[in-house]
Amino acid sequence: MTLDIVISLFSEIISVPEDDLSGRTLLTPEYDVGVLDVAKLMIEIEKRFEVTIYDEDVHKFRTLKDVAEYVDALIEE
Amino acid sequence: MENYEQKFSKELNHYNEILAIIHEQLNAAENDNAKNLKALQQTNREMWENASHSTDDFDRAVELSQFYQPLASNIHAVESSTERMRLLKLMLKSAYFARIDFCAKGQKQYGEIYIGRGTLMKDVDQRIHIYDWRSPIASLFYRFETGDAFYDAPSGRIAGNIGLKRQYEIKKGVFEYFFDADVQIADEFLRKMLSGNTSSKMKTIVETIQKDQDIAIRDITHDLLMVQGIAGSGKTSIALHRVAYLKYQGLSNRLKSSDIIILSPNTLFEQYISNVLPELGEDEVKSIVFDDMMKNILADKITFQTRHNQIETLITCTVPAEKALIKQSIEFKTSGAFIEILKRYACSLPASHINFRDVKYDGKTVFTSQYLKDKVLQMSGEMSLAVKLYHLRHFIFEEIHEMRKARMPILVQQAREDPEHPFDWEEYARALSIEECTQLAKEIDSFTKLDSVALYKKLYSNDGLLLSLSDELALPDNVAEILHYSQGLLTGSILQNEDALAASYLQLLIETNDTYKQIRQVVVDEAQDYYSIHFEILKHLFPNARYTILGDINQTIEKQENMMLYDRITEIMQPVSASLMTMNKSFRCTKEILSFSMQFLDSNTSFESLNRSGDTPQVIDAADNDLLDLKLMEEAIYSENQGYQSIAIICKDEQETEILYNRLKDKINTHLVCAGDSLNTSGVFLIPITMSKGLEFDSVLVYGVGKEHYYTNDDKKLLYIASTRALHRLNLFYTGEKSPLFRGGRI
Repeated sequence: MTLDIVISLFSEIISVPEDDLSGRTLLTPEYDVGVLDVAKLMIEIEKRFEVTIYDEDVHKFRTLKDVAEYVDALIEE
Repeated sequence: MENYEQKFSKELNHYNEILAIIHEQLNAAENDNAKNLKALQQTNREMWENASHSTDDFDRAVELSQFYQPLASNIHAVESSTERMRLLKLMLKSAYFARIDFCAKGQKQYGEIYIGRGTLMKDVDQRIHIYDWRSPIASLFYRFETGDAFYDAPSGRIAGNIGLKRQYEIKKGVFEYFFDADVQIADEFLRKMLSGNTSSKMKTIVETIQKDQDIAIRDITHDLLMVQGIAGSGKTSIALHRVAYLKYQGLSNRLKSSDIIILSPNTLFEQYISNVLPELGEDEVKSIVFDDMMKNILADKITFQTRHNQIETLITCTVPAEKALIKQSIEFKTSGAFIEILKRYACSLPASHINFRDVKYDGKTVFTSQYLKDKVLQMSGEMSLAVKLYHLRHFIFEEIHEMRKARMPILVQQAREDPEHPFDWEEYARALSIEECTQLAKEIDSFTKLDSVALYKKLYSNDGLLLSLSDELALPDNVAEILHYSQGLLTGSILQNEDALAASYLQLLIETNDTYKQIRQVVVDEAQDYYSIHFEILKHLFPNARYTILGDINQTIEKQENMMLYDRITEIMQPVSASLMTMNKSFRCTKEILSFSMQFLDSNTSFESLNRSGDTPQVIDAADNDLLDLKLMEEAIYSENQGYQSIAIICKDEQETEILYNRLKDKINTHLVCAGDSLNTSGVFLIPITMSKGLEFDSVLVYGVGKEHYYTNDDKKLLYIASTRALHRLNLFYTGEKSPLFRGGRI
């Protein structure tokens, strides 16, 4: 599933075990997630899924689930 | 000639034969149901055992899909056998309630047509033993006495003769008696039915539907059917039986529960009517209150005053000038003139009120604001403004995406040269792009994503904007005062109900709302409480629906109405064909209660009662509150001793209801009925007038009918509503001076 892959990619980026992450994990500075982590996640997702994430949409992602749903929509397109 | 005993014995034999058929069919249906359930469980098990449980790849989805067809057909079979069992169980309690002997022209023999809540047909001989009350032939029973008659069948009109019209009393499966009905006896039967106690849930009226009620129930010619009926004339019953009829009638155009929606005045009323359709063997239909529809239209974060609070504010406002201003403001913002202002405003938004901005990217101006505005103005008028702006946003970003190909290398270069990011320059460059694009998106969203509440507020904040849109419209004399008053209110975080209505309407003008697109029939009860803007909103929300609209111009709360209401509704809804039926006969109240209540209406209001007699209503005074409480309690206890089950003490507003409740609660067994509660109208209880609308109680005690509470024309309507809630007994109480609104008094 897309979400599992997104979690796995993000786990490597922020060096947190996959089990500690979920679709509800927030992509906000309060949770120590920096802008560079988010940027890196976008780059990795684009490589893994061969899609283009539009930078103007990134600020709408609150959680990893939001990211996975966006990617799913791109794949469907 | 057969005597009653002989006829009774024949009828009883017939009834027992019918019972045997019902039992037989119920057994068969139960067996079917058990088999269907087993098949469903089997399919379920096979699916779990033979297919993988997740569908993340296509092959597995295909594997699972082979189970879909049998699963769906098994579910359908279980549903239809369950439904059949439900109907047969209802029929076991009361198989039929009427019989007509009808001989169609050209035939020699009279056929015996038994009428009940559903159809009972034997597969073997294909003979119909009981006809559904909604079948075309059953209309003979409701519309004709013995003699020449006709009904409209799908194949055309069938004329003939009714030789016998008989009614049965079958209760809890026991055949009690029957009588052959002429008009007088039928009226006697109706009186007997109506002399019983009411209950917390509305009951069906299939046995006693009157001719004009039947016409309204079976009307399929008009896409806008309006019923003006006095209190107790059975408007709500008509609406619900009509829903049951529409779910039965026709083949291809038969309505499903999900095609119908009932607009209720409040949630207590929703509970009150919730039993009728199941009693008729039909599923419940979704009912909704207007405020919930507005929540659906407006953005989540918007909070607004409920309709209930709006009315309570008006009823409890004791400063005449303030109350007048609130009412004028409500009336203006819900009026035809204001609707026109909002329409003009919505049309002028792209040309004059959307703040288009230049779009800049990579140091260049990509589009000028004028270019973007012109682009929107040139788009096809077919699209809603929201769709046009969506296309504009898409158009802008298509260009930005192209330009980003050249922009990214520049950002990468910049990142590589930054000594702070020697190793993570790639993600740093991307972060820079995300940051500038986020900023750009916010700027573009400011003119492509419209906020209807902010735009609505802008109407008031910009000097003269609202007035500039009102050319040739009739405005209230004190429009400036209303606007000033509104500006103050609109700075708060909670919108007034009328402002929320206007903002909702503006939102619908900007963007099509498809939530209720599938609805084909809308039933609006208590239509007199709605304003023009409500109907405009309905028209936008339910573009594919036909309407049944029921109301009583005399049961308004804090507004005055006349028959023009129905003209205004017709003008707004623009139906292909509309019909207005007037019902002046009250079935609820005794003739004494009804004639007492009529003193609160114009003297030329025509009305008819069923000639059911009861005690004459009394207006009782007391020297002080203690004595008043004592008299109230005496009357409540007397009513209980008379065997009345639902005894309502009705107060003018919610606050007064609570105060009285606190005075009485330790002295008699009583409870309070409030907004948001579950409906319990058994025993002695207190309820504000607004909550009692549409409901009925055996004995009613109207509290505080002194002149300090009831003195305006609007208060008169409240007294009318409160008084006509009573079925059998009505008394009114006050201290001090009696309200001048009673007969002979002067305002």
